Amino acid sequence: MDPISRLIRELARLPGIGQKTATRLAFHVLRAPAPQVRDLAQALHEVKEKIRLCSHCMNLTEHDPCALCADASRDGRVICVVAHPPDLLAIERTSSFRGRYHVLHGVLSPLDGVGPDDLKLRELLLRVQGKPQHISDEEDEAALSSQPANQPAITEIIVATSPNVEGEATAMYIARMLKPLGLRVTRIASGLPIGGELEYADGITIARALEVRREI
Amino acid sequence: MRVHALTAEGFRNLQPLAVSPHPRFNVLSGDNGQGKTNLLEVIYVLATLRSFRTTRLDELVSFGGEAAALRARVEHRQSERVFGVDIGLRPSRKQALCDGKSARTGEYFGGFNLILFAPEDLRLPKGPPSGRRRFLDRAIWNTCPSYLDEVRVYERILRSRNILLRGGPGTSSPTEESEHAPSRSRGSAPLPDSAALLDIYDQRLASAGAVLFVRRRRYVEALAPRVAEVFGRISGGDHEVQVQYQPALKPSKATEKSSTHLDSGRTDPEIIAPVIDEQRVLSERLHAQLQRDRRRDQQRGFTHSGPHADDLVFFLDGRPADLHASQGQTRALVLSLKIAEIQHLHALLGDPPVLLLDDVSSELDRDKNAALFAFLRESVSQVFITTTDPNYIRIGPSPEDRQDFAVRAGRIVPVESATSGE
Ligand SMILES: [Zn+2]
Repeated sequence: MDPISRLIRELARLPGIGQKTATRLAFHVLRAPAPQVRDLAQALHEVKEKIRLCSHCMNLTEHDPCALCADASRDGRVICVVAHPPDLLAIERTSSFRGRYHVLHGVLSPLDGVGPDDLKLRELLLRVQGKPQHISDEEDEAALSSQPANQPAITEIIVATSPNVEGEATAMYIARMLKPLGLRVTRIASGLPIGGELEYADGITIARALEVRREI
Repeated sequence: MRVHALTAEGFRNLQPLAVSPHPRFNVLSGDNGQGKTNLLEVIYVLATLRSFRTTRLDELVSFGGEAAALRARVEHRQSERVFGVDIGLRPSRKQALCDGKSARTGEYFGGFNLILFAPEDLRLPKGPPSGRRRFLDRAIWNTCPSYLDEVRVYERILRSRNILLRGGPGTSSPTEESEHAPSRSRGSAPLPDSAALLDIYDQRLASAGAVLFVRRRRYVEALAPRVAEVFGRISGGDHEVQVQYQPALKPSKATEKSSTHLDSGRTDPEIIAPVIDEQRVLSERLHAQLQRDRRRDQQRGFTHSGPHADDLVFFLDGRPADLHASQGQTRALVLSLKIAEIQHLHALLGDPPVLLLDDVSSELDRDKNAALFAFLRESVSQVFITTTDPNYIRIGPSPEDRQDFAVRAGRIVPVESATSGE
């Protein structure tokens, strides 16, 4: 396959990009100055090389633990559980939450074939139990040694998954998993549009939803 | 509600169209296949964002075309809004517009309500239960826009539960997992066992299902006396008809065959209770039922109880109408049902809904046609009627209440003056 067709094919595999857009992008790249293309290629390469999961919160990060987990001023007793990294960013933008996070990387969805083992649920359970989380073979040592000192016991889990069928089921599952450990498990208040996505909700709505949460 | 102006481009076989409908009766005549029903479909899509004939967008767009644009200027209680739907095929999309601005479905609905009466409706009492559920769902949605979302949520939970019943994700190797066997990830912390996920979906299904139970029960309770009254008038008072909602929820072990009990449900104490209590009670009952059924549900791979298996049953002189009513009685029954639906919606909205009649007159005998048109004359609704023969349309003495349109090869042309009055 010639290099242009190959580039078009690779671009077309990205979400939201069809054949037409892929072709346009490919020719744009072809016309762009060489250093710019080199930067793009390097950025693509680095994002895969350098970005990994924080061994505590499972968020994407370059350094483990991530900046949020390393920040001593945050309240480690309260953990906000989100489905995806963009949800975490949406909550961070509101500056209304000063606890820590846990990213599931998805929600339970039988229709999409996503079960508990496909999410970072076990990691959440281990974290709550205060056990080290083994996430990948090479990172074990680093993960253990980088454990922030004086981790306080976790007392509350706020589940901030979207208020749709899958988000609700995931929240209930987490409650079932953690309540036996004596934790307070809460759900962000509705007020978010039914079936709406957290990622797209405005800051005030998210802040209020966090404030007025209810026990599951 | 009145449609004052209607335009369509790129829709099925219709030529680009711009009509100013009559505020009362619009009669569309033409041979089959010329596009009469397509015009009703344009109005239907504008009011409901879906078709009554297909779920495929590409069928709605002209052959070889890529997009369709529909607009209607609609008056509702002295205020006007322009409803619009843009349909595109590449990529496949449907965009609702309100006064020219794109609208989310939640903002779109309200202000343009209509009721369709089509030949398929005449088979309701003797057809499959799915048709009667569809009737109920459309009718309730007209009275309550949020019902659509409630049904969708329920259906999504139901499909999810059915997947779990058949051993979906998180339910694999149920016996091993319950013994805390180390699972494939290395942490080996015991996650809740496989039944936990199904428990959660039972709970969610029960609460979402209870919402539908309550809505349907309330609706049928409001409709039933009207149906009985209209039927009495049409049939000259010789026969008595009863409509009853039959939820797919066993009332108790004793009354399994509730379909033959005229009083089923009516004396349940929870009917009197406020809606929240009613919902809670029904949710608990459905939940208990789901738990009892779980084994059987797992064996068959689907959920037996719940609103998706509900029915609407008709009784003629106390006997099940699907078995005992003649064809004429069945049609009178359906006519009463549709008229009751229209009356009820009109009373609720305080404004008459737009009516679409798709060639029903040819299916009704002389007396029932007369009864239908007597009702339509009395009502103040704007009506769109398709027919192969304008002589079926017995609107009555004042031709100024009527505009005829000739439909031929996708072209809709107003017919000058009423040559076909009565
Ligand atoms: Zn972290």
